[in-house]
Amino acid sequence: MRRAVFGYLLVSVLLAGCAYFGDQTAPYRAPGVVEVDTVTDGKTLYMRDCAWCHGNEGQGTENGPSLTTGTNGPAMTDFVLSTGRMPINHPDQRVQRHASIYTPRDIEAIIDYMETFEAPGPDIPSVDPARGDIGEGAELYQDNCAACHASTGIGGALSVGGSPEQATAVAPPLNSSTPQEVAEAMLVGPGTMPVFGPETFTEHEVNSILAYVEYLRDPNNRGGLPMGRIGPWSEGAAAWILGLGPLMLLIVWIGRKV
Amino acid sequence: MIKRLTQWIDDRLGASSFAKQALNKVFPDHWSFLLGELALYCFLILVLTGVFLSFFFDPSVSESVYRGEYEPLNGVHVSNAYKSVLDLSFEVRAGLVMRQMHHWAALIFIAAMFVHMLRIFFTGAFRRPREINWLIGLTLLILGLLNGFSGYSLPDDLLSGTGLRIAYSVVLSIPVIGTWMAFLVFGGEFPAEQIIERLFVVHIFIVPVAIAGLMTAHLAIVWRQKHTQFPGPGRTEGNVVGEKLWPTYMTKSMALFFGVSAVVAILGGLVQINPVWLYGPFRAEQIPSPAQPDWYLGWLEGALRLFPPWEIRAFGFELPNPFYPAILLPGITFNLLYLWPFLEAKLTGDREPHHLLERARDHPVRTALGIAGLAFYLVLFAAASNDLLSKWLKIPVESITNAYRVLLLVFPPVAGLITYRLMDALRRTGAEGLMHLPLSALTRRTQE
Ligand code: HEC
Ligand code: HEC
Repeated sequence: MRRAVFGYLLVSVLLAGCAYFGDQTAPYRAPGVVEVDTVTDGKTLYMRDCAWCHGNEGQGTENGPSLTTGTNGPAMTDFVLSTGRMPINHPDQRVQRHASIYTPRDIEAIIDYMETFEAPGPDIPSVDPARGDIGEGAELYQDNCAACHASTGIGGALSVGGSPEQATAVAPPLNSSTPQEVAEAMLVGPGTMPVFGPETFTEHEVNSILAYVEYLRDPNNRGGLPMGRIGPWSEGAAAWILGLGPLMLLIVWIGRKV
Repeated sequence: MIKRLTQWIDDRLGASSFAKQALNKVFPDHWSFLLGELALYCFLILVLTGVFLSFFFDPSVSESVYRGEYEPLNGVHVSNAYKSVLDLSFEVRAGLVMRQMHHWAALIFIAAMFVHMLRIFFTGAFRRPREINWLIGLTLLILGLLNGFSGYSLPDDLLSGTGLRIAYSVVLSIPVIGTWMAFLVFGGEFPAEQIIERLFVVHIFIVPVAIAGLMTAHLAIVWRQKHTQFPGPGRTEGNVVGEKLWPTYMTKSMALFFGVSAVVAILGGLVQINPVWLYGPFRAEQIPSPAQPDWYLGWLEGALRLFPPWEIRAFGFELPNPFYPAILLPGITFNLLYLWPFLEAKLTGDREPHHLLERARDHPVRTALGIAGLAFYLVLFAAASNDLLSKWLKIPVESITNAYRVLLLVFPPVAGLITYRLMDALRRTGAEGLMHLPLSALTRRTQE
């Protein structure tokens, strides 16, 4: 009897587990980390990793949007692949920065293949932050980007209403973006970020912004420990914990009877 | 020689009998009586570092092109105020460490005053005859907030400019006289030309002088009325048991001064605070995020964020939204605090003079009300960083704001009720086992 109950429990747990994980993993396609080096043909990669969500011709499916409209194009594809945003494992997964699963050669191949979709979006920009003027970049950055990504580039929450994914939109920190990615992000406007195209900034201005964003990755930390550059929040915490805290201990100590 | 000189002075001023009396004055010993002194020494450091800063700061907002040590802003139009802060931070010898010490000392100053006030409140030290000092102390705290805010605004950077913009809209929201007041205070439409210069005068002259004067009165009154003490063996309403000013208390006090200086200097030297060069110069059209004020204004910022976007018409006037959280709330808060000693005397009917302190449990109702109040402001304070929490937890800002709204209504009464129960139980049972809880830290001394 005991054994029967135990067996029953074991089986039902296993079944429940299968049901649970089955549900989780049903749409999952291994991105094929193992084969990546052997399969470099863009079409093969696209068909294997992207088509089940975006359709064979990039027309879109219920799992993912069309890749032939809007700002889609080489710059967009390069951006989502080099920042590891795509592919995702599940249509509802949060799209965010990850280590890319592809080699630069794979990315190139996928882009080449996807050019056959003839999406209208911009081409991959060529960038050279060294030619920019960092002072101009500072001003343009504060004017156009700081409201979302914070003056210090640490990112911030966006309080936009609307759909749930918009409401949870977070402007990510920019401290790991390469100049190439920054330029692409400006051209294609990923997610809720607006587009900053050639009609907004000249090439020189773009390079200036890139220079400043690059500077913000490791800015002048004169003054000591930056504490995450969150500003008054961490400063207030430090004033209480590192400032008043030890002083309270001190007065407890010297306040004793002698 | 020295003897002759002191004799000479004494013959003319009769100072020695006063000095003798003063040096023999007795101070009760309990660590919590040093909190006010902690604040005093922070103020001293603020004055010393502030004088240094004022040599280099230029309050004018006329613009020029920045050319200086800080490369990334070269060629950018900045105000002279902002430029002088950059120079202080990058070019003036020891300028940055002074700036940082000044800012850290300010944050700790207000924290120390606040904790000091809590001690006075929860031990009933404000009761007759010490109501006047309660009023002065509270005024000092308000002046501290004022000077903190005015100082924070001086560098004319993007972050503090955002604070000023909020202050401007708050002043505007005062019924009837708002527009007029805003123009009077700011000298014109925001961002007005004069505001930094005016804040500078307020920050380095008017408020500090008021603080110094009131602090002197505060201490003189403590001196005159003698210090309170916790009840204990040999301690009565009529005596003070403790250490003489000289040498014991003086030594302790000096040690405290050195301690405060050390902590402020270490923080100022090793931990970055308000890196205005990264925030950039103030521009009216820019709004940074995340933007928090310094901690001591967090409760006001939180109130602004939590208050629903109502615009209420009353008596034919439109009451703009910031009025409730930013004018009415602090108005009620500070009035309640000012009136507290008198309200309590009225409610309890106790108008006798007291020199012995109460423990938190001796007066469960006061303690519970105090904790409930603290809980209320704590929620407001936490709400000031709802955007950071949203970013970290990946929860929409709106949901977090709503959660805080609920918490604001639920947490204070619950905290108050629990405190009441706890204090009441402690009072009745005198449970000694609980004496080592943090809550009873204030009372531990008296057991010896
Ligand atoms: C699990 C389904 C899924 C897979 C697999 C997937 N995507 Fe996506 N993709 C999405 C979804 C959903 C979005 C929309 C995300 C958003 O905007 O929040 C998206 C967005 C994109 C976008 C941006 C479209 C736009 O207009 O903003 C590009 C480009 C893209 N994917 C390319 C790819 C590529 C290339 C691959 C293969 C390497 C891939 N995706 C794999 C679901 C998927
Ligand atoms: C309205 C707010 C907003 C503004 C303004 C904005 N961004 Fe963004 N940015 C976003 C959001 C939201 C994302 C995340 C998009 C996504 O992954 O879906 C983003 C992503 C990025 C990324 C990708 C970072 C990563 O994690 O890989 C870069 C780079 C970037 N932005 C640069 C800029 C620059 C440069 C500017 C100014 C020219 C700017 N952004 C202005 C909201 C904004």
